[in-house]
Amino acid sequence: MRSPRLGEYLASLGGLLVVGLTAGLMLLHAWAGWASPAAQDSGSRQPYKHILTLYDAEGRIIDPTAPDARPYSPRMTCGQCHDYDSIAKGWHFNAAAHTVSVGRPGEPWFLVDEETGSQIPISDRDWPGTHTPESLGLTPWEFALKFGRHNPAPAPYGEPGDQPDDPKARWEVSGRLEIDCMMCHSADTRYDPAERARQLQRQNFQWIPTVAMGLGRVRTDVRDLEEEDPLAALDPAYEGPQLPPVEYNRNKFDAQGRVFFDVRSRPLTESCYHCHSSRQVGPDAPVRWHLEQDVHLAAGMSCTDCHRNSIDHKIVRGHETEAIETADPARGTLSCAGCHLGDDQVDHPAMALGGRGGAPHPLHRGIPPIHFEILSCTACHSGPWPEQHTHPVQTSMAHGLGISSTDRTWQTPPEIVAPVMAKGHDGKIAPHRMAWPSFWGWLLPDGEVRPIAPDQVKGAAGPLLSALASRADGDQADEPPARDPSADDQPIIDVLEAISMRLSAGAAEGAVPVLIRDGYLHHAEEERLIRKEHSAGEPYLWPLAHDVRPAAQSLGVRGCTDCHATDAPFYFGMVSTSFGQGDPARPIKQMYELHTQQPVLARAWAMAFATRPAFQVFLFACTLVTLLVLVRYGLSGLGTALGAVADRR
Amino acid sequence: MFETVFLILIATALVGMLVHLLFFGPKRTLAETDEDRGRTVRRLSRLERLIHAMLATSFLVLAGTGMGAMWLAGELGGWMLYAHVLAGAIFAAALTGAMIRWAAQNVFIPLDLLWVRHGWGGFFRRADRHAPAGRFDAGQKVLFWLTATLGLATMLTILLTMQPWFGYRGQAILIDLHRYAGLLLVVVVLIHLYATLLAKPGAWKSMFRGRVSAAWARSHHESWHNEATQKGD
Repeated sequence: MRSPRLGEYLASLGGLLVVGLTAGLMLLHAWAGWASPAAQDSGSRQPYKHILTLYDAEGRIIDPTAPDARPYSPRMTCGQCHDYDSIAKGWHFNAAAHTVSVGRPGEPWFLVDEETGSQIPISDRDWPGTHTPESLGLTPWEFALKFGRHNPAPAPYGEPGDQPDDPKARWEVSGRLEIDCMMCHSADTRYDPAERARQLQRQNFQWIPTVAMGLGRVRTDVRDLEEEDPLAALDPAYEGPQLPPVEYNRNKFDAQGRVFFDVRSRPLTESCYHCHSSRQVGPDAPVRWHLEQDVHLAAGMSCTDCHRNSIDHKIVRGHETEAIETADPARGTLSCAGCHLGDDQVDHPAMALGGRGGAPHPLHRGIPPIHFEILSCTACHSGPWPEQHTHPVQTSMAHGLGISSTDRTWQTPPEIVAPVMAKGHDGKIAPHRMAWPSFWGWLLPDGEVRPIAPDQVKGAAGPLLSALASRADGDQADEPPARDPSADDQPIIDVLEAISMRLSAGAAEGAVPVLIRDGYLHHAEEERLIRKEHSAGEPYLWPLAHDVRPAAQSLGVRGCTDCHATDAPFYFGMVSTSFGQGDPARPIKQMYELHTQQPVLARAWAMAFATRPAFQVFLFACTLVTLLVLVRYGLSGLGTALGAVADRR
Repeated sequence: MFETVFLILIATALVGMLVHLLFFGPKRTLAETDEDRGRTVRRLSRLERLIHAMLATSFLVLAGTGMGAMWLAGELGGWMLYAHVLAGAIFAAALTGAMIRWAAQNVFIPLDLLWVRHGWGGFFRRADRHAPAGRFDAGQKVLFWLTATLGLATMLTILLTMQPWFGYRGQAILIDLHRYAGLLLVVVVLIHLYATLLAKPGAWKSMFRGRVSAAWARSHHESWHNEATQKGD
């Protein structure tokens, strides 16, 4: 018989084991849930009512009545149900991640500096013609301050990256620049992106989602903590300026301290427009009410009807080669051709047939099929109607549209023009927006040109740069490369020499300072400015898909001569810079050059269409005569054959 | 698809001609008689030679640019399209001229039946025996009407694509018809070239000089030779 003591001991041990196992399983479950939060889904087509408890960046529930209330964190609040890390890999957020195909070139950011005349397309997506922010010495902190107004991306722009320490960065006090879900998903348009830009400049990064949504306000700015050691503000014993607390608008909270977020899973067009707006500017720009909106929007559609995504936020870009680039045939069905013509590559019969979103099947009567092989749909259907000169254009990303400003004029750089009919990455001619790169850089021995950060140029050349502003150059675009020195060239030579003297220590061995401008590479040689063609001077182009014009306003609706005529802008429109139109010093090309066509052929082809009606009559006559002769002798032969058969009988 | 059909048809035509050359050989011209010695017969007038030259040259450009687009450029554009259109206009004019000029002479007559029964003029017999034929033998007539029909098809399809009657799919069908008609025309022309240069040596001279030797005329087109001799051509 066992002693009672041993029995008690065993029972206690067993109890402990059960408790331990249970606790272990609970911890494991909690860890698994923390590591990969399961996305919650109501399963209904009815929009889920987002009445949410707010969490701060540390995951603590926010008490709106607390005097030191922290701002709410989308990562911790929305992330309760939605997989933030998965969302962060979506198209809008993954530029710097280098994990996805870069695809069709898109609009880059432009690093602009008027003093040095710099206009540098930058992107982390490796689009040909762009430079990485890192190569220009732009730290994530600087990038966030410059472009965060229209850039919803988090890491590495929203927090420290792998780059060297940035003495200007103040992430510890500014907090993370998180993906702000309501920037796009607010259904009541309460979210104020202009407020986002203001808070960004005040370095109140972690307060942006709260303030831009109108949930509360902050009275102080992180940037005002500059004089102090910013880390000191994190110390509870610190008595200097404190991190700004949030004064929550208590009317936004219900009795349980929760907030109703009016969320749309498919963002409103107005939300997309904050970052994806553009407008024609300049003396000839039409007044706004003269313009039409995109025909799809006019028909009641929204951006997200075509540019769809699931929770992974891998948004359909909507161009025809996307299906191949992403190995996802379904994406092809949401391109122009996919919706309007169908796509045989898709297994799903309904998708393959086209007609998505009620898209009508176009007839394209009388248009030779070659057009569909060498032109994108947008060539005839999208963007402003081509005119003899391109127009200056401003965009949200480049010019900060959507944020009111008294400084912005139609000549505010970067200089972007449209519509430019050029061959795109898929080999088809399409309307593009275009900008000529302009920067000081190093020409490396292998022929590559690496731009120099404008601040470095200013440091090296200083007052010499002021002489450039008044430079009145009389060069012709087709002038021979070598030029005689002139007074106009001297300021450039001076700056190049200053760069050579003061910055060459940090440059690669054998590197030569150059200026990329007006479509050419310039370098100094024996007190002379030499100008050469170089790929670094080529314009950066990105296709525009909107606004789509109605079929009645498509190119070709008046006949072939909409494009095939000696004065048709499609071939012979002048592509200049926005402000240099008519100035012989500025780069000018004709559209056919960007189609990669030879000028003689372009002219000959256009002239041939003057005789097209006569050619049709001639061909009709030839066909008719041939047909009549065939019928005449065919009938005769038939008669003879029948006669022979009858005779034989 | 079209590329495959193209390769099969052209390869078949070339192999067929090679096999014919090996098994049956060329249909040689009979030995000159005393009467034939030094005498020539006018086979093609200047106008006919002009029409033939226009047809031949334009067809070479059309076939070259059409095939070049298919195998080299991937699409018919740029200079090739320009040359194709220009050559197309010349081809249309020449084909119309050929129809007006030669259609009546290419009507089948009872003598053609005899020519066919004679192993297609002896082309499918190993012995050097010729069958009597008029100015054009039955084989040439078949090629003529095939050329006319296929040429008409290429012209008509292009003419229809220029009218606002057919949509995207209709246009694609028309272009396909144009390409297949053009391909068949290439085969017909290959056979014509083979017959003229290899199977019936000496015929090509008439393209440039307009005249052929009396022996050649008597060997391959006896009836026409006799008529021409009587007329004093």
